[in-house]
Amino acid sequence: MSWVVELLDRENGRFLNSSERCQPLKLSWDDFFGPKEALISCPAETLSMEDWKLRLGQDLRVYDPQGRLAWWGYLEAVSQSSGNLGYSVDIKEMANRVAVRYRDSVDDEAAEFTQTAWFEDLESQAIYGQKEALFTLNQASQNSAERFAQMRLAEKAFPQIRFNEESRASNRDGGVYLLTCKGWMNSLSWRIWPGVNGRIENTVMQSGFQPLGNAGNNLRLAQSFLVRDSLKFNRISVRLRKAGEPADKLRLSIQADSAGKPSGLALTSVLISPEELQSESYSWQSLNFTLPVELTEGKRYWLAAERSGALNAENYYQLAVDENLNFKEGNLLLFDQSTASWKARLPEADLLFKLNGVRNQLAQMRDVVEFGGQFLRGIEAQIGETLDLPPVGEDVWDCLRVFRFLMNYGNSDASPLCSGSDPNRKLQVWQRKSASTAVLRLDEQARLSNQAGQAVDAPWQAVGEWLAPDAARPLYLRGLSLEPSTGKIIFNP
Amino acid sequence: MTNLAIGRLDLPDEGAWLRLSGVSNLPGLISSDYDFQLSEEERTKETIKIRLRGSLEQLRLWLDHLENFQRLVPEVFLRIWKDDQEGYVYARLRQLGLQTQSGHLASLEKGSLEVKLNIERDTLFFGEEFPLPLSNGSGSNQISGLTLFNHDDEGLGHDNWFRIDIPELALKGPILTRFQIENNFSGSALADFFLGSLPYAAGELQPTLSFEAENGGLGTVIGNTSASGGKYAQLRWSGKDWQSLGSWTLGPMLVSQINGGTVLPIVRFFNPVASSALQLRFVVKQQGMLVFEGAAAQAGPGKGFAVLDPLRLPLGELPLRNYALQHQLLLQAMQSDSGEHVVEWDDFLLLPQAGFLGFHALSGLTRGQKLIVDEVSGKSWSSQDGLEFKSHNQIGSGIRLQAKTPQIFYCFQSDPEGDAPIERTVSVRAWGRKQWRLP
Repeated sequence: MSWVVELLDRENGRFLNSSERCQPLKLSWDDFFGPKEALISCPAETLSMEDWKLRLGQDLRVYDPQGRLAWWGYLEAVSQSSGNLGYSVDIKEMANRVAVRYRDSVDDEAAEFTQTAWFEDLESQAIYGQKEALFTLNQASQNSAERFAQMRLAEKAFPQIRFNEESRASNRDGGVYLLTCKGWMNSLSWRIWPGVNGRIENTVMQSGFQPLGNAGNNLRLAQSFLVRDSLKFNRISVRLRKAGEPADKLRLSIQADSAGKPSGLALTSVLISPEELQSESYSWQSLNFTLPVELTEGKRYWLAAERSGALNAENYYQLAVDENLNFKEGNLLLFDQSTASWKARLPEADLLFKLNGVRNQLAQMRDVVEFGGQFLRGIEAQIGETLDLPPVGEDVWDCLRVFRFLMNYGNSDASPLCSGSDPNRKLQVWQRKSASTAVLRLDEQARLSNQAGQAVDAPWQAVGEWLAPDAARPLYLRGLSLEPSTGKIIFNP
Repeated sequence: MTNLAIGRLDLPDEGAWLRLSGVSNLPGLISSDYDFQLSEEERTKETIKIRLRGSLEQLRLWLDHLENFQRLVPEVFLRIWKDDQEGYVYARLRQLGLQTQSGHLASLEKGSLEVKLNIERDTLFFGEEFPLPLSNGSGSNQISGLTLFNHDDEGLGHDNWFRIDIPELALKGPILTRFQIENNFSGSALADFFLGSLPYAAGELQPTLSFEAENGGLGTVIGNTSASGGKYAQLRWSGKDWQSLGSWTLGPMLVSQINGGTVLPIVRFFNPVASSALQLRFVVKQQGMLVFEGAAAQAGPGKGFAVLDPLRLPLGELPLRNYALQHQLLLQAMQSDSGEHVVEWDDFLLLPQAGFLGFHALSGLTRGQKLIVDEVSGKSWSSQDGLEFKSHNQIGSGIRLQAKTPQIFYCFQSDPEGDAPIERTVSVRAWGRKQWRLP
């Protein structure tokens, strides 16, 4: 008895397979996944391929001879070779929640992709959890895209046992099941990140303009908009020009809504200098707010503009608008000095504008784990100050890719970040240690020893540490793979 | 050498054996030659020639039996009768090849056959089982069952350990063991449990590997009869840095007795920790200087105990011509969630791992059920009223008794709720089998 493999129900920890004869062939860890991959050999005893199929996605744990939990993750695939026939079943290709992105072939002007609703197999989801697939069709109608999604769902909703033509069993392997396992972090790849739109904008072609501050009926201007995702907005762009040579500045502010009108209280603001503007043509001007403003999802706000000085009929500002009303989530009002009230513009129009939002990096990581971490139990981070970043809005990235993308920014000190799922299936994120912390020694025979000179019994615990080789500068151990039966270790595979 | 046989050790009657010398249980055996080899290797290759004469049916029966045993290897043993032992000795067969002479078919038809068995067996033979006497505060040299509590304090019989006094048994070679652990606790079932052993020199003080929280010198000590030693420690702190829960000195003799082996620290909480963010580790100081930080282990939320990363002691590879310097052991906790953190804990056990078995509960063991760990078969199973079942999944490197030195065994028990009440008990029995290179 040495290394031991246990397969447990991921929900309640019950044993699903009590064979004490399964043995790990190869285990790997790295500083992103923690436990990354495992290859396990199990004798063909009482379980059939159908039995293994139902165990896909369940909790697999590997203990070392000292009883230490060395590797943990889920069962992704099982294969068996017997004679000239090979069988395999895996959860990688399975999808029980399917949608299709398509360019509408009926609508000639459609440049953007449209997405069908998600089609789901609830029975499969009850067994395996939600596993999504998003297909892309360059030309399709809504009907054909939905049909395509339904077909893919029918085909992929459950894992399929397949022949492996290329597989030929050696005598030694005959009848043995090979289990391929992945660390829990990898389960983030099961869901497609829905994306967060970090911009609220109306950037269609200009059709019309609105003078501001040349008469009492345009003392102020305000464009309303709806916030889709709670974000911190830090940058604003408007399209405008100056008329004459205004000596004052143009103040842009964000205001809350008060009964369908701007509240009058600036949540944040910024000034545009007339020197920045052209008088002959319109141009986009982008500025950062003095203080970024946190706007709440589902609420209406106003982008208000007014001069910092007095009305002037010769020298004033002209803002670009869209009189074709392409912007559906707001309207433009003008403040009339004579009646001291907000009125609709005639003809109606919408301001051309862009608002850019950011979200804290760690908050985005939490969002991703909360959305995509159906088997994970949250995230815990010890990473110091983090960055405000544009939200990740890519349409077809899975949550694992988004999480890695956010990790790749490092923290605000530009220190790289490390992560991994702990045995309680909570994602841990921490700042990579500095080379000066190296205490583990790597000798010429590639043996690891601790600060007391003892051989390291659990080399995987050295992942994420700096190693001090004999007569060389410290090396960072990003990952490691181990063959338990031979003790062979590959550093940074 | 007389009375040579091959067969199954796990079947109770003589019918499981095929005698290859003397009067066989199959007709037709004329003679046999066993080419015994003495080897220093773990396994030994030998041959046994058997000469048969009889009807075609009789010879066919021999061949069928031999081929059947060939398929059953390695569950097949070589058995030899030893007059001086007045008993059998056994060696497990790892390979069994059958080789016939040229002209085999013609010879078979004429009623005569010579078959050579090419065997590879475990070099060590082992003998019949005998009970191993066990001792602790509940009794000395008990062979009918010794009670172990789930803690070790001054209370009468409150021992989570037992000892086998090998020197008194005058055993010279390594011994194969069979342990039987019976749950004799009237409360909840026995779930996960651990058994670890440590040999130590005869004449030395028996190593003590249980440590009380209240002796760690930190936190508030609170009296409670449900705690080991009648007290537990409560620690409160804030922040996300490592916090020491206590400090203990491992004396020179104890550190030296561990002799470069590992111990598995198991910390028992008086009240389970609610947070999933608690991590524990041991650090070691020598002469006041921090010299080793153990890997952090996650404490499972709601569990009454935590298994920490094994510690190898003493630190560094020492020749141990003299005792090692004492080690100061500090238990530390870190909790990354916000607010005040509270840990109420009772004691810890440094479970020795010179021999080590852990058992993860499938169904657990209710009162009266027994778990058996047999070194000969390499299997562990449970029994109730003579019927076998699997209650636990076994982990660990295994337990082997060492010759000549007394050996102490520590045990830690838990229940299905993940608690480890100190009043839990099991009854332990053990059997041994002597081993010889030369039977």
